[in-house]
Amino acid sequence: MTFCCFGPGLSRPFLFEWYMKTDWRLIKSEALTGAENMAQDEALLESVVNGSSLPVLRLYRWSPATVTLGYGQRGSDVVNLSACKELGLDVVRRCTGGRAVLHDHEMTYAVMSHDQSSVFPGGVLNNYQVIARVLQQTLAQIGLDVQLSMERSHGLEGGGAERSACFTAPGQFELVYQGHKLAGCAQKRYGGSFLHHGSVPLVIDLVQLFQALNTRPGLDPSTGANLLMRHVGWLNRWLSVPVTLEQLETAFIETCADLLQVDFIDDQLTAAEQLRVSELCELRYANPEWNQLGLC
Amino acid sequence: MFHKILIANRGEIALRIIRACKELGVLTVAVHSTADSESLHVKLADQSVCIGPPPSADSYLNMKAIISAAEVADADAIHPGYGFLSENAEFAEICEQCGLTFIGPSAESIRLMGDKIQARQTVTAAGVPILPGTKENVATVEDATRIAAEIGYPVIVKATAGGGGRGMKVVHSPVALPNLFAAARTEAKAGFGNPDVYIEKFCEQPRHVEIQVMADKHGNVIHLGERDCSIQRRHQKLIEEAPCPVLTPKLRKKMGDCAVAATKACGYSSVGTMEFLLDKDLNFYFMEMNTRVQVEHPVTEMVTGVDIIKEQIRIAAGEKLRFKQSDIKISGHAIECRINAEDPDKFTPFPGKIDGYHTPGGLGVRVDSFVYDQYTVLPHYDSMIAKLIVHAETREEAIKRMARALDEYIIEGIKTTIPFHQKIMSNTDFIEGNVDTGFLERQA
Repeated sequence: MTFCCFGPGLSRPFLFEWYMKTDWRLIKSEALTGAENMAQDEALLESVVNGSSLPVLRLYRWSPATVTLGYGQRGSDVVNLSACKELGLDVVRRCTGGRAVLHDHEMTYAVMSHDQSSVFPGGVLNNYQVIARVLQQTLAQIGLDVQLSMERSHGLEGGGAERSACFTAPGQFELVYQGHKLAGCAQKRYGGSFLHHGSVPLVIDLVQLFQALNTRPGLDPSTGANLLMRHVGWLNRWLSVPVTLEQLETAFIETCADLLQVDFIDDQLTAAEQLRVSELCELRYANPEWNQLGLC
Repeated sequence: MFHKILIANRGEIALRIIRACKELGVLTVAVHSTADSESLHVKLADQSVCIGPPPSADSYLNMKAIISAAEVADADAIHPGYGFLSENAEFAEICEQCGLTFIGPSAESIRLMGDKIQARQTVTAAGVPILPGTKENVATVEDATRIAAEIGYPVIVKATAGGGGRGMKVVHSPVALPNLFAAARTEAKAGFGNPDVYIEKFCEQPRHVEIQVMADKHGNVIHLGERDCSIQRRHQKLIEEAPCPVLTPKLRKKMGDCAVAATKACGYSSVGTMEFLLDKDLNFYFMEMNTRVQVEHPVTEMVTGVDIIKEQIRIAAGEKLRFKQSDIKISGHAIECRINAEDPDKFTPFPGKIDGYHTPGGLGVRVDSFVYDQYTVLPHYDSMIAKLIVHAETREEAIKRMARALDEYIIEGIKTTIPFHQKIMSNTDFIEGNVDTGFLERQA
């Protein structure tokens, strides 16, 4: 039994609640394609929504490295599709909003849960904040004192790669270190539940990021890298003792368990969920037309 | 002093040289292509000679025609201006062989500084910092780790065989090096069939800062301070200012001393410019030397009061420098905007007839231009039609003066980059001096 106090800044200040530890599924995936990863997240969200699943923390990796676009982003506007092809990068559209992310050397996670629970107070920003605090504490544990950005940013005024890239624009309750955005996240809300996507890069290949997202011809890549470097961050840029992905994932799971009072049950997707993954791949994420549709 | 100088150039710089000559009491000969017969430099020179059809290769780059014109007009010196033949060692040599003084450095100096490897060696020997790195292949990750540690992070790994971002990686820490180094080699192999890569220092948020030097034929060398030319589009300078907003007197002296040492090391005489990259931590690295007078020389003239073209001519005539280093004082702040006949959004050339022309005036405003009302801007040549230069006590005041001068400047009938400059003068980052060579790309 734990006594928990949500501090001011949440929509339900000074809420005191007695509750039991909650069981969550912990799903650690092998490296998958962009389409499979996105389809798994959505299939798990559906399971949570229809009551066939506990809340889920999913940790995953990418093979090949993948550019994911925000739900509202049109591929041809925000990424250089031919450069991505040449670089061997998958391009897939997420069901969550936000901007483009190049997933490579990073910790990628997804949380699927009911909007309101013993862990989550409900509402996008409140739930953002809960997860952000877990990340903040995780990073403090590995030696980096990061801030939560409190301002809502609409991103940079710049063009091309700077405007497209998620990591140039910290949103509210995202992690910032020395003015550089260190982690990106986005949510989809559906059926009283939400899917929270997040990533924390360990290393960023700036030139590759620039090439993948640059839609302006003629700009030389080292200038592009310099432009991105002003705003994007990654853990091993600052850590004197570099962190490995395994260390970061372990620290994240432990902090989650501790801070959110969650018991994790190691699990995999069920057969029904796997079936739904195949359907969603075909319907959306492995379908080039859907991926490049966008809204704007 | 010379009796008559032939100006092997066109446009505003030809006019600028004619003005200097008139003040020195030297006669001038303009050369021009058939397309330029109505140009102002032709009208203002004491004499003019047509040297060929519109394409530069047949006129302003035609050495034979220019030398013949000098002989016909009985000139005793040739001023090449900037661009065209100004950094052509062969032309400097031919001038000397024909008994004409080339107003610029010797052919050897042009050759030496034109060869990047030799230039780097020469300045390094003189104690001038260059961007640390290798130009040779780094074969193993062990070598890469050692070299990167020597250079200091961040470093950039580049393919020796080519550019365009293939095989290029920016590395911030030793932990990321093995992966990125391997990836760079793989990409280079895939892209160019050659996995060779080299490593150099990655310069963060670099400013382009250059030092104006002046050296006579008697071994005296001084510098006239710096210009900040960070506002560039695709390596084309658009706005220049002096002094550089972030340079301290101490750093100015250090960079100036380096520029003077490098100038001496290559036995240079004439005016010239040492170009440096200045990173966000104020480390500076030599890039190259321009062995000619530069487009942006007026900002230095405004803050030092030294007429660079007149001094250049005096030096070529064998006179000793009239200034010591201690005579050079930087006073106030100057900014130059290059006014191009271009679409201000797309930067595509916009030649055509000027139909309505009014130049700005008032205290501290200078316009170096060759155009006038009803003049037709030609498609054959560079699109720069004017340089608007302002001088004021402080940078803040200079920016305001530039903004009001731009508002006064009326050029109708063609598109110009005036609206672009107006935007920059009201840009917060520019006003705060927070610029680097990526500035314009950030605004785009």
